[in-house]
Amino acid sequence: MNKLRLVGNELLRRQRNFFSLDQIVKTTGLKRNDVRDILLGFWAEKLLVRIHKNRDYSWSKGPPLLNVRYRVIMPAKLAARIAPQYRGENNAADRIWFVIRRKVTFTRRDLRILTGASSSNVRWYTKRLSKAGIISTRGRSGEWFLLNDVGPRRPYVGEILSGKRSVRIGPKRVVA
Amino acid sequence: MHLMKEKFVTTKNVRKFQMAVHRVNHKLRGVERMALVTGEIGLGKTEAATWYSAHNGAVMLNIWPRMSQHWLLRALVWELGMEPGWRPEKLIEQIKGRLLARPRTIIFDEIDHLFRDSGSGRVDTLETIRKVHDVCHCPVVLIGEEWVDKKMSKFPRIDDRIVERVRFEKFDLSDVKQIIGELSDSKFEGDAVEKITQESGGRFRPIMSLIHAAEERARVNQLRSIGVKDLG
Repeated sequence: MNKLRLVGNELLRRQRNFFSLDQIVKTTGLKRNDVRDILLGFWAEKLLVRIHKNRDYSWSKGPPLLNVRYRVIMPAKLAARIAPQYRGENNAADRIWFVIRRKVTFTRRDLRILTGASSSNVRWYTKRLSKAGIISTRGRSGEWFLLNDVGPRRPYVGEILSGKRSVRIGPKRVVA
Repeated sequence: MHLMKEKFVTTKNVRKFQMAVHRVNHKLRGVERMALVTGEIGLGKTEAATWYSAHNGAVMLNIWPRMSQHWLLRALVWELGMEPGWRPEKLIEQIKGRLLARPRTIIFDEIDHLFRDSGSGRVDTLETIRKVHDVCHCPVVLIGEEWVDKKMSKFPRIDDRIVERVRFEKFDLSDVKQIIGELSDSKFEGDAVEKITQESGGRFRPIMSLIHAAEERARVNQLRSIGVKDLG
């Protein structure tokens, strides 16, 4: 879970109660600067309201720090803000994956023409699929071929490469 | 630099295809939504369908020789993103569940394989396609060779439901001009375009190879425009 989502979940857990910067630092275990920046961002987006800025004199090193108190005013919007970003349907990678499955043997030029994706996008995605062992190339001919058809849903190559997920065979099990 | 541009050219055939699919997508309930696309090989039917499916999220299914009803249903369930069940009733249930929740255009490519032999199994497969169309009321596009149109008339149940018929024609002079204009940076003279049209026989692949060869010759000889004599 990233820092933003960690802080956001902590804020949502507190519902509409007041909380201070110190409290969030303590419960999340993140660096004070990181939490401060995230809260400032939420405040700028008008998801939080700043109650007041107290100086913390218990801090012995250097000048007293600000221990700002906030309150969540837009819980629904905050939840939407920290939710995983929707990757979009039928984006360039989806289109590339569709064409790869259709053609089985293909060149990057085919992908660029049929999907309208940029050459850098095509290069990046074919490289990732190749590293994950889903497609492969024949020498230096520029011809690629599909090794493992994992279904119509585009494979999560990043997770496969980081070892979080093995190559999934078949589409996600969905009961109609 | 004389390099062919990487672009999908929307020729007259492609425009006709897109308009037909657009029309079957916007029929009212109760109006049939089947389209039949026919044409000789090498005119870009499959490429047009692939381009359309990639950009519009349509389901595209290739018909194989001797494809049975069960095989077709399993392939369709797989393409819809589900693990296919084993029994046919389960497969139909899965297809219904998915397509009623989110209707999508289904494109069946190389439908002519179903007419190559007269086995009763092929008729079952065709009837299954009709049933999927009737039950889910989703647009169905059938793509095949030019003689499929006549063969289809032997199956009035399906033939009646086809509301859009598109025939891919061979590329004429205006199409070749458009292809050259959109793909090539070199200037082609009028007689060169005519010769490419004649020599290619109106097919896409020969057109591309002729343009490519001419461009290469222009690059080597540093020509400003390409005439008939430069086509070799």
